[in-house]
Amino acid sequence: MNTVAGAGVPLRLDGVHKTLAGTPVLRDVGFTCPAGAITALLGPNGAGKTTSVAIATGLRRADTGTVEVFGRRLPSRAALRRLSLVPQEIGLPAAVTVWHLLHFVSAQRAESPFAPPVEELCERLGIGPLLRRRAGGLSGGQQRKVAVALGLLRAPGLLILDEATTSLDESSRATTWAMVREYVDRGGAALVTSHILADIESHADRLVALNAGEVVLERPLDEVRQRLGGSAVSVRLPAGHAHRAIARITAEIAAAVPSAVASDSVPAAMPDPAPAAMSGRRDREFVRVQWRTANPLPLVAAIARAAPCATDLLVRPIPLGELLDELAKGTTR
Amino acid sequence: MSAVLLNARLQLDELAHIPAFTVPSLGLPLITYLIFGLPDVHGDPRTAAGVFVGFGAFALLGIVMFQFGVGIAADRASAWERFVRTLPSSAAERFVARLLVALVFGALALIPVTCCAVLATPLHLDALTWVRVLVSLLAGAVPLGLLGIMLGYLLNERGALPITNLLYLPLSYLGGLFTARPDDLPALAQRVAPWLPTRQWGELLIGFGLGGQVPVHAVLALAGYGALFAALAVFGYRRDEQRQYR
Repeated sequence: MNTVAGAGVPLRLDGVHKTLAGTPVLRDVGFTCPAGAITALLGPNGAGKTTSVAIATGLRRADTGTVEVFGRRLPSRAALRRLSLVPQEIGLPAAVTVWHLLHFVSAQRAESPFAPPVEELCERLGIGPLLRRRAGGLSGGQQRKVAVALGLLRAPGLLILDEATTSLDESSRATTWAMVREYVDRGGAALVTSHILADIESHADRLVALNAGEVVLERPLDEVRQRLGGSAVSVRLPAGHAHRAIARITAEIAAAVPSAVASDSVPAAMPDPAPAAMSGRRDREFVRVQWRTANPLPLVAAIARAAPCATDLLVRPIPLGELLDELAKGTTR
Repeated sequence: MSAVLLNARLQLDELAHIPAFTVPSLGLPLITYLIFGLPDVHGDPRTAAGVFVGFGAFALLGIVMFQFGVGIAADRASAWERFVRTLPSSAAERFVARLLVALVFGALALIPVTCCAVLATPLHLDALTWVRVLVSLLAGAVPLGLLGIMLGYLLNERGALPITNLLYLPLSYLGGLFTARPDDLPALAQRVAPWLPTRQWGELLIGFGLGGQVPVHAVLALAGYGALFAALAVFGYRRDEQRQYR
């Protein structure tokens, strides 16, 4: 058995219930984090993400249910040896040098086949020049880089990142995500929470969505995108011509894709494949109009034919934020 | 390096670079000894020995009460401590590390007082007496250390420092640690003193440390205080676990 990974699923929560201050915050929560994938834990505020992470790292105990890291129950030492955490807040001891902190953590972990060597880690995160400085003298961003380094340092088979990239600059965020990707590509398992949904959309492989303490979705990200209707297509129309242009585009869509119906309905309520959904936002002189569609090409062609006055064509995947909004409203499962 | 030593080294490094901890912990015993202890000696070897063991206890008392009381209360509120709990070292190893650090700082606090007593007073103790004094100092530090741990778990971070300060100096003064003649304390202090663990510690130091006779009542009293503080510390620890980690 590998000393840093081991047999079993990297992380498995099953039937977890948790009540805090008399309020149930997790109800029958169950999900897994498989090896070789970045699993994102999402949900609106109060959904139970923080409590789930605390339970998954042994910082809280479930009232009922099981939590296992590579088949070992938390918070046993055997389980803790197999996980590594980048916490939302770390509060590094102010008077201790960065080098000492790195040594303190690395000396407690075995060599890991998943994590980068310490020299590479320091170089890529840009903390080499900080090694001799005391943590209290570091900026917030520098402290966060050190926190990321402490999490990734000899990271065993399960890496948990709780809002790890918050307050990092763009470059460090990208580096962190790249290293997490390399970590899972080498066979590690990562569980991440982040309110930067663009990062989740770009880097996660799987989503676990919580709402009001329950798991409402556990699927690969690609599948979730399909459920959302694929892409959002939007154009900017002159306000004075918007109504007629929309009518023409709608007619074109109806001719090109007979099943398409312009609607404000949410995609989950629509038949599969999801037809286009339409919504509009008006500014002073222009209206940006957006359609949702599983197949953006006919829609783009219809817009080109029906509304030559349209500008700023934008085709993008449906934002994950919309899924979360729908989860919060209870319209998607 | 073992987990205990790793944790101890980190704590030592951290505390050693916090002047707010080191200066009062290491400097206050020496300063109080110079101001209140030395003038009391009057060239008498017995008085010199009594003053020395009293201020030695005062030095250790400061370390165990602040290192455990304030240190534990601060750690309970710290995000770093939560992070450390996700590392493989156990709570027991971290606690033993804290104990080691307290011993190191205790020794560091004793050295200047000892040097000053040896150099500036007619203090002459044979080797066996030195050993008995050291044993008495350590034995008395145990229940007072448990008092510190109890405060650390029962008080929050904001309350721990002022309340520990509030207890530290009165316990020392009323316990007679600042004088070789506790019977000379004011009447009110003498009425309170027998009920204090520091007074029992002082009797252990004088009776066994310097005199070679075990004061049974002081040993029993210290054991009783130790049991009481330990029980309350366990209660506080469990309550904290319940609040923070359950």
